[in-house]
Order: sequence, then C-alpha cells, then structure tokens
Amino acid sequence: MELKRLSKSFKKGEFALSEIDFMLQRGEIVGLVGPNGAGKTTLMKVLSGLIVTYDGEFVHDSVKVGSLIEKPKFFPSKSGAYNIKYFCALNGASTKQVDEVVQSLGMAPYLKKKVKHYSLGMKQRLGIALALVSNPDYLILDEPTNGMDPDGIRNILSYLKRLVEERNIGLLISSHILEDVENISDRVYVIKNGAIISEYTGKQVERILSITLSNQDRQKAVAILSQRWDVTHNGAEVSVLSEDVKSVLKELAEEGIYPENVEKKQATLEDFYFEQMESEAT
Amino acid sequence: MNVGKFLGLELKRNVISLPLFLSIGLSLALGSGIIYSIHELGGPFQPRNVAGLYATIAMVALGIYSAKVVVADLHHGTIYLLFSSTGDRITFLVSRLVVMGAVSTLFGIGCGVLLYVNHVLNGQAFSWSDVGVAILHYVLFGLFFTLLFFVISMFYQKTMNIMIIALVTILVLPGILGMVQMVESLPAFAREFIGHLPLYTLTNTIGFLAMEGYDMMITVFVSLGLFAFAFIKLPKVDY
Repeated sequence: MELKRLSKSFKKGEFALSEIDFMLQRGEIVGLVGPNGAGKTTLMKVLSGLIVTYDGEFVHDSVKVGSLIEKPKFFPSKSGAYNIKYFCALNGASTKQVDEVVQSLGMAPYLKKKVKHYSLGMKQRLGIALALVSNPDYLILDEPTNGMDPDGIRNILSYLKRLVEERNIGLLISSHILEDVENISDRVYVIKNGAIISEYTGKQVERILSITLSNQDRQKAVAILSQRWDVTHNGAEVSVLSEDVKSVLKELAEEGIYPENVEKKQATLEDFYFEQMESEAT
Repeated sequence: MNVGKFLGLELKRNVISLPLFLSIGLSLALGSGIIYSIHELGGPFQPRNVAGLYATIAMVALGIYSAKVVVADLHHGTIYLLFSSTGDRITFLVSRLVVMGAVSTLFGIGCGVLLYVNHVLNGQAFSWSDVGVAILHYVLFGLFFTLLFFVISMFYQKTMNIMIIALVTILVLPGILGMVQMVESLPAFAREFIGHLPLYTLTNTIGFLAMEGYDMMITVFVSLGLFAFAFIKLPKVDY
C-alpha cells in the first residue's frame, strides 16, 4: 500500500493530511506516532477504505484490510462469541480459524459474556480478533493496547509480531506509548499537523550523553553546549546529542563546570520523537 | 463479504427481535380494542377504524425501525468493519432494504390479520386483497423512510439526532405540511405539490389504507430516485 502526495481536508483550507508519502509492505510492521489531532486516525481511515475522497494517489492491489480504528467496534448487547461468529460468517471464515486468535489473545473465558460488560482491555482484544477474521493482507491498529495491563500489552505485541511473520501481514500500528511502538516496529513514521515530518528506522539512532549538573551551572552549560551540539534538558539532566565525551567535558571544564554525573545512552524513539517535535515547533 | 450470509444474518438479527414483536403486539392490542368494541359493545366502527388504530402504534414503530436499521451500525461503529470496499457498501444499502422489506411486511400482515379477525368475529367486509393492500402500504412506508434516513445518514452521521429527525419527520412534519396546505394564499400548484409528497401522503393514508394509485406511483419513483442517489453517492462518502 502506498500513498503518494495524498492530501485530505474536511474544511476548506484546513488539511487533516497534507501531501503524505507513505508506504506499507506485507511482512513489515510500521509504527505511526504523533500528537493528538496530528492526522493518524485520518491516515488510517484512508488506508482502511473508510475515507475515499482525497487529493493525491492511493496505490494498492485489491487487498483485504482489517482495522481497529479509534475504539473497538462490535454489537455491545451481544456476546463476544456472537460477534466473532457474526463477522466470521460475513467473511466466509469458520470460527475454528479464529480459535487460535481467541486463545492467543486470552479471550476464551470471556466469550459468553455480553461485550458491554467487558473491560476496556478485553474490548480491545475483541476488536483485534474481529479485525483478523477476514484473514487480512494488511492490519491497521489504532492504539490496540489501550486499557491493557503490562502483561496484556506484552502478550499482544508479541502475538502481533508472530502474526506478521507467520501470515505475511503488513501491520500499521499507532500508540502513544513510544517504547511499545519502537519495540515492535521495523520503522516508524512521525506525523504532525497532517504531515509526515520524519521516518525513524533505528539506523539514525545516535549516542547521547546524559549529564547531571548542579542548579547554578545548568543554564550556563546549556548555553555553551548548544553552540556545538543539539541539547535538551529536563530537570537536573542535560542531554547532548554526541558520543564524544572528551570534547563535551573539555568545553565545560574550560568554563569551570564539572558535572556530577555523565552517562552514555542510546537515543530512543522517544528522544527522536521529542527532538522532531521541538525542531518543528521552532 | 459473503452477500448471502450477510443478508441472512441481518434478517435474523433484525427480524427476530423482541422490540419488533412487542411493537407489532402492541399495535395488534390497540386494533383489537376496536374489534372488541364492535363485538361486545356494538361500537359504531368500520374495518378502516380497526386498521387506523393499529396504525397509530405501527406507523411510529415502523418509522423508528426504519431509522434504527440505518443508524445502528453507525452508532456501534460496526460500519467500519463492513465498509472496506465499494461492493460492501452497496451490499449494506441493499441489506437495509431487504431487512425493512421483511419488517414492513410483518407489520402489513399484522394489519391484515386484524382485519380478518374483525371479519370473522363481527362479519364486517373483508377480502384477501385487503391483506395485500395493507402489506403494500406498510412496505412502501418502510422502504421510503429507510431510504430517506439512509440518504440523510450519508451526510449527517450523528446517530441520536437522526433518530430525533425520524420522529419529527413521521409525527410532526405531516401536521405542519397539512397546516401549510390550509394557508389560503398558497398557490394551487404548491398545495397540489404538498398533497402528493410521500412524506405527507404515506403518513396520512397508512391508517385507513387509502393511498391512491397516483400517490403510490409517486412514492415508488421518489424511492427509486433516493436509491439511485444513494447507490451512486455511497461509494464516495467518507466514514
């Protein structure tokens, strides 16, 4: 699935998506992160065939897409089993085909309960199961781990990873938990104000230095280091995008600043994300 | 999407439904009151009064059902699972008509049964064509309003508001149109136009099963127009 310079506006002059270039292939997991209102849901709706009017090009073969967008969809006054049976029948799938999904998602004990009595995490699981009943080529999941406990999140993510490998599905996943997205994705699109502002592949990950400084030195240190490197600070901790410890410490020592602690860290998607957001803001 | 299975499931889900049976039951109970009145109390009523009282509940229930069938999947969001291709969208549109055709037929049969019971108990006029006429009225009513609410839902997707619009359209609008018709300064062509609007004729004639052939034709053509519009426009609507 490929989007070429795709734009979508709901009001004249206001773009929900602006000239998006996007690619999702079968067998890969792509993350989508961005602040609320950035255009993630709109993008996912385009890919799922729910939004059909736009400018630009949406290139895709005749493919089956399963989706879980915004919140899980089902008949709330029916049981989980009924919902699965209904959508299986609709898609010509046998419930046996979905049994494995149900077992893997830990839903089996809850199937007889009415869905309106499910917890949010269980509703999410059912939403994922329903997205899978059509045996899709592509799976679009909008915050699928919402409302799940840490164990549940880990199980779901590892299950999705296995699913992509075994069934050669292309998976697009969005979440505000950046660590989860980073752990599961092959690459991640960062979206803001309807535009994809960067793509994180992990390859551009840089080493950063985390320096702890006393209160009186911090402002001065930030001013000095900012002249040569990208610097962010959070409380007593100043992060410098560099792995050259000697040069950084030398610059500080020349001004009589001696850090309380220096630590080498690997930049994460979270570092990358906030860096992108800050650079866009300026 | 497996079209045959989808239609089967939708029919089962919507026709085997407690609210539907309750509303038909309530309509029957109300119509039976008139039959009882004729039989036991010598009430001065005709078969048209039996059908009329039956329709007071049946018309509102069928109108609400027409809107409910359209907005339920929008409300639950299950439309997201059903609308992944153009073909699926058209299947969904057709399925609404099939379901409402069946539901409307049940309401029509209910009315026919009541007329037959009245004939058996009170010896009043009855012919089997009355059942056909009753079914025809209810099916026209159900399909027209389903298509109308479907078209509205393509542009306005706030489900609770559509239900309110449905109630206003069926309960209030015909009365307003009737009052407008009585304005003396209204040109004759406008009065004629309002008098043949399906919105007006369907709600005003279903009670006495008295829709004229000309108005039936208009209703059929307007319904076909709404269907054609939905058929062409639906694949181009964002959800």
